[in-house]
Amino acid sequence: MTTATIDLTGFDDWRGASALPRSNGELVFDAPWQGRLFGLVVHLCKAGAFEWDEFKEHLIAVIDESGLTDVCDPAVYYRQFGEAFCRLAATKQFFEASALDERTVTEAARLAHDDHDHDHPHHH
Amino acid sequence: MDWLSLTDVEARVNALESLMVEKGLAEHEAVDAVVASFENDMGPVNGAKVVARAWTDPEYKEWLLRDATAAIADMGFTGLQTEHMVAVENTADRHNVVVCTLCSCYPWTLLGIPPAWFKYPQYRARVVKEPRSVLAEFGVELPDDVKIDVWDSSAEIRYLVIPRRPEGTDGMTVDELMPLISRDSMVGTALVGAGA
Repeated sequence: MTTATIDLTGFDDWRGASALPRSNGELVFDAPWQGRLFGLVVHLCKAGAFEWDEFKEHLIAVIDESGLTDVCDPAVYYRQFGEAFCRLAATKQFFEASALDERTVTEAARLAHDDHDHDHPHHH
Repeated sequence: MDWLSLTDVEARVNALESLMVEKGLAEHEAVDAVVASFENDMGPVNGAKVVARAWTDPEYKEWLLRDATAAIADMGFTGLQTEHMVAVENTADRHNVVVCTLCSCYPWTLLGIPPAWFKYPQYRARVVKEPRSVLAEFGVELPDDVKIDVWDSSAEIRYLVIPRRPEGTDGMTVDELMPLISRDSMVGTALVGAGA
């Protein structure tokens, strides 16, 4: 089994307000998108796109504003996580909000099996 | 944009990743690597448990092949995307490999978060047309007399490949066998114990 280990120290705040949902010490996800989102944000940070503390400020703010501070539920927590990342992305000007909305529509269609397979060359 | 009320959060996350890759800020493979570091928190351990039990318990294997949904539920793995499972067994003369040609349907409750290559158009298109050479690229070299079945997942049906149990493991317990069973071997893009 290929289990590359990545040290998550510094990406988590075990006992703090923005601590990652865990069960018996292990990270908890209840849908793949949560893990994918977490992986993406950790990767971007490790690649130097931002400092984790910058992200964490947004995350704590989102959690506070939402009033949903019981973040043991990964379905809630990772939505807050996504919202926080988009706020960070806006300040860093990673992309336009409208571009994300447009891409979301495309991806939703793909997930719904509505896409036409464009793997082949077209001449029309 | 408010993530807390989004209905298409999965599409939003996919969109985010694809935008960041397009901007040159992220790489799918690097996200895979991070995900791989914690994927054991949600599988492929579950899938490996199912396979190891099938290897060691002929009655369970027979049940798994006949009604995978029920046999897998018996292990306590139920819920989204394991609701309609079909198990397919690799044998000396038949190898199975799974794809989702339309998108990336995947039994993640059993296998964890899907790897990026499972979603690549190249994999989705090519494994159907030329499975033998795609498998060779994954390092799975099959003799010409081994038939290859390609199973196309859908929103309704997900597949679990039961890899061949390696020789020399007869006396091993479920717990000893489990670490041998990789995610890719249960998708069909790896063999168990190959080269080991």
